[in-house]
Amino acid sequence: MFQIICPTCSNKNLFETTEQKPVECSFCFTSFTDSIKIEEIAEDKKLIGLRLIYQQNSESVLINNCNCILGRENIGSQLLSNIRINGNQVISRKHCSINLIDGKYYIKDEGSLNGTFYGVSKIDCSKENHIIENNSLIFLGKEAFLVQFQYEDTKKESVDQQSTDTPKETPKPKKYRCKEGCGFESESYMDICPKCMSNNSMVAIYEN
Amino acid sequence: MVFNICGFTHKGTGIYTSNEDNMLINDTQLNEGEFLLFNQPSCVCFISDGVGGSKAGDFASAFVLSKIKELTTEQLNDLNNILYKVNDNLLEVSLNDENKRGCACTLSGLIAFDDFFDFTHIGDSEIWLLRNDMFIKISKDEVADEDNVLSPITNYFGGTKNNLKINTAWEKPELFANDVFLLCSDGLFKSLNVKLVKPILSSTKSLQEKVLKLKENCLTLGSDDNVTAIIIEIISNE
Repeated sequence: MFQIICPTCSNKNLFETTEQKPVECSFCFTSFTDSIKIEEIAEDKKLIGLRLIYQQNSESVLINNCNCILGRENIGSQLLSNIRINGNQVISRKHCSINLIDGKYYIKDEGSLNGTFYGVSKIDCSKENHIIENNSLIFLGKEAFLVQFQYEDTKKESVDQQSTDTPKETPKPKKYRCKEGCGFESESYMDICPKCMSNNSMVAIYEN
Repeated sequence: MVFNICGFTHKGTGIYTSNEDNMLINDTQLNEGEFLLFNQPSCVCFISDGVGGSKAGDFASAFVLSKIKELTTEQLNDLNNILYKVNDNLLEVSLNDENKRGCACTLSGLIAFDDFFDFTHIGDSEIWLLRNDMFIKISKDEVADEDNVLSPITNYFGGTKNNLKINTAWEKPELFANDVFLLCSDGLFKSLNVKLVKPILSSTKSLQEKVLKLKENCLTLGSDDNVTAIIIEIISNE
């Protein structure tokens, strides 16, 4: 669904496809020029779960809309039981819980040995639920996981007339690399490098 | 001269159970609905708005327009004097009928035939002109305080005593081809902002579509007052 907001009367002129773009406002008959801004209306996105992406090897755990406990003998056991440092498993059997409350996800430590932390400042999640935001980092012990919300529909961005007339293909980066020299690479962009904790240090790499 | 004329009148969406507005488009007087005329050699268009708060405003507006409708071309040349007589008739009726005592109405209109044209404006109905993308109000509201929408009107037909004073001194524009005149009761601009009306009149839509759009928008946004509008397009002034 698209819309043109009339510059004269602010009426929202809705239409299904760009081919159906109206030439005038349905309310006041103001003519729309070719350069008039067309906005795509983001439809209501339904949150269907979240994915925790382990930043060392990009393997992930998918969590659907339910309350669950993460741990090497619980949800995500296949991934979490293989995370070892010096041969020792660092994720507890019952490490933390992820709870869905009023449509929002929260994380809470479940008495794990190495602790559960949220974000760069490593908020201790042992005492109470901490809300989880999209694209944030959580730490099970020292291991970083990127949170990505899973939606039923992908997000739609607004487009203007010019871009719809002459679509430009933006090449997709092969990976992102921390420019601070720590050597960290990831398939997805992150605001904060989980290895050296530098802000906005990830740069797109288009070729191997 | 050649005119295309189209108008509507509606009781609105407010508390009014009846329409106290009346409109006259050449020989047709309406209290509800739309009316369209193409390629008319003459134009005798009037709007009359029954004064709110007075009894039988609908009667007053219908009475005045019915008297104008009966006039011959010669009489229209001397309209102002006749309007004073119409006012006397209305006062007489209202004094003799308890149910109509104090009834009153406004009157705004345009008369054009052969080489003669004139505007009439009494009260707070409005006359607008769209010319060369300029949309200007050429009538002046005859009210005690123009800044107060609830201010009582000072010049009207009827009432309890003779209040009518036809002002002939106001500046009336000449008619040119492609001019568009809008006659409307005050209800129109209570519902619609000026900037919402101008693009409708300026559009390339048909006259009927413009009128229906004005009506639709008034009713969509809500019109507490009765609302009436006549659009007059001057196709040729030859």
